[in-house]
This record gives sequence, structure tokens and C-alpha cells, in this order.
Amino acid sequence: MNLKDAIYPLLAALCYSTNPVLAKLGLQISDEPLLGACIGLIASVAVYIIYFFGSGQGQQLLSMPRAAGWYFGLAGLATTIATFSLFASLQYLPAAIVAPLTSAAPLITLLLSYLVLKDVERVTRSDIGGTVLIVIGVILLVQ
Amino acid sequence: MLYGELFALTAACLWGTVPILIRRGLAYSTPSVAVVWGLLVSVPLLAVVFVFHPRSVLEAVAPRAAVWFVLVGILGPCIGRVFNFIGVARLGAARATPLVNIAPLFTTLLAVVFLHEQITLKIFLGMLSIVAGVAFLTGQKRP
Repeated sequence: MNLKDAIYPLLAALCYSTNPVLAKLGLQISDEPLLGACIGLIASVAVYIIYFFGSGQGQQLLSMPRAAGWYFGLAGLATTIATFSLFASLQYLPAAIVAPLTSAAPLITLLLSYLVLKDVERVTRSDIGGTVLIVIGVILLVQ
Repeated sequence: MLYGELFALTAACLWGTVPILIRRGLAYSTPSVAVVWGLLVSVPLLAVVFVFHPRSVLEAVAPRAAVWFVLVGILGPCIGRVFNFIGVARLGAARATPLVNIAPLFTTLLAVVFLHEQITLKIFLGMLSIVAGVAFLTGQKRP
């Protein structure tokens, strides 16, 4: 793997890692996790639309093939519904139980990559070993 | 009933499916379009929450709290998602997703450095497992 390519998911992880701390600061003032998440998502929509159209990428959206629209649209809906499901689960269970369960997401991706992305990706033993080690490590950290 | 577990596993399954959908859509378009379209289609769901939530957002969330929630949105669903989708485009769904999910490692390091939290044996083993997993994933040659 090219380390230059690995920097992107690691930067994503760094961005996501600040979320629990920042959310906690907000929740200490107003304990409304669902509304807080929605405010955050609305802000992200506003900021990214300004950047997207301001940087002259608007034409790409207008000329987006229908297939991309379906895949990206379903991904967007899945992400939002997953966020709501997370909040729903926290109504019934403590975070110490919810966090390890949601940490299993990369295992789902690995399985689906093997099953439905055979034409574009090859899942190796290192992929399986690395993913399992990361999921175990994350469960140890979040529990 | 196991409502909490079901909601948490639903979230994990949906989050695990998103990189697969993105990988498929990226055959037709760019990560930037994936982010903007995914955010736009989530707006109706967010509107439903704002309309049907028992408390008005203006009375439930203090402006100071909203600032923190906005920061969460900009760093996570906005900037984090851009890096995440670029990672999926460059490395594939199966390799990028576990790397993105090491966010708790960075959160722990931030907590140790800035909040002077103690590193227990469980946390140390978790960090070790994550680092080993990352080494597994990044150490392999591109197939």
C-alpha cells in the first residue's frame, strides 16, 4: 500500500476523533444529542455546498450520472439513518455496550467487499488480519 | 426485547455498507460529488427531526452549545467525510474503512496528552492492537 494514499483515511480518522470531545462540550451546555447531531449535519451541508459551488465544481453535480446519484444518495441516507439508530440504541443501552457493537462496521465492509466488490477489489489475508486487529483494539479502547 | 442491540447493529451494518456504495458510485463520479449529494439527500430526514422533535431547537439548544455542534458537523460529516471518500477511491473500501475507524486511538491520545488521562493495561493493549492492524494493512504491497 502506498503510504501517501493511507494518509487520507488517517486524516479522516483524525477529524472524526475530535467529534466525541466537541460533542461532549456541546452536550454539557445543552443535553440534546439528536438535535445536536442534526445541527452539526445542517452546518456540514451549508459549509460543503458553499465550498463545492464556490470552487466551481457545481457542473459535476449537474452532470452526475444517474447510477452515481443512486449510490451516493443511498450512502447519504444510510449514514443519516445509522446516526439516528445510534441515538436510538443509546436510549436503551449504555455507551459502553453500544460503542463495541457499532465498532463492527469495518467487518461488515470487509465481508461486503469480498461478496459484492470482487470485480474491483481483492480482499487479502492482511486485509482480514489488519481489520480484525483494529476492531479488537477499538473495542478495548471504547468499552 | 433487544431494541438497543438491534439499533446498534443496524447502525454498524449501515455504516459498513456506506463504503461499498461509495466505491460503486466512484466508478461514475468524484469523492467531492459523493459528499455533497450524500449530504443533500439527508436534509429531508433532518427536517423531519426538527419538525417532530418534542422541543423546538431554539429553546432546547443554547447558542454556545450550537457552536460546538456546528464544529462537530464541519470536522466530521464535512471534512472527515471528504478524506474518508478520497481514501475509499484510492485504497478501496476494504482497506480504507478500518483505517478510518482508528479514530478512538487519536481520541485516546488527545485525552492522554491534553486531559492527562491514565493509560490502563486495557487501553495499552487496545492501542497496540490498532497499531498492529494499521501496520498489517499499510505494510502489504498493492495487489
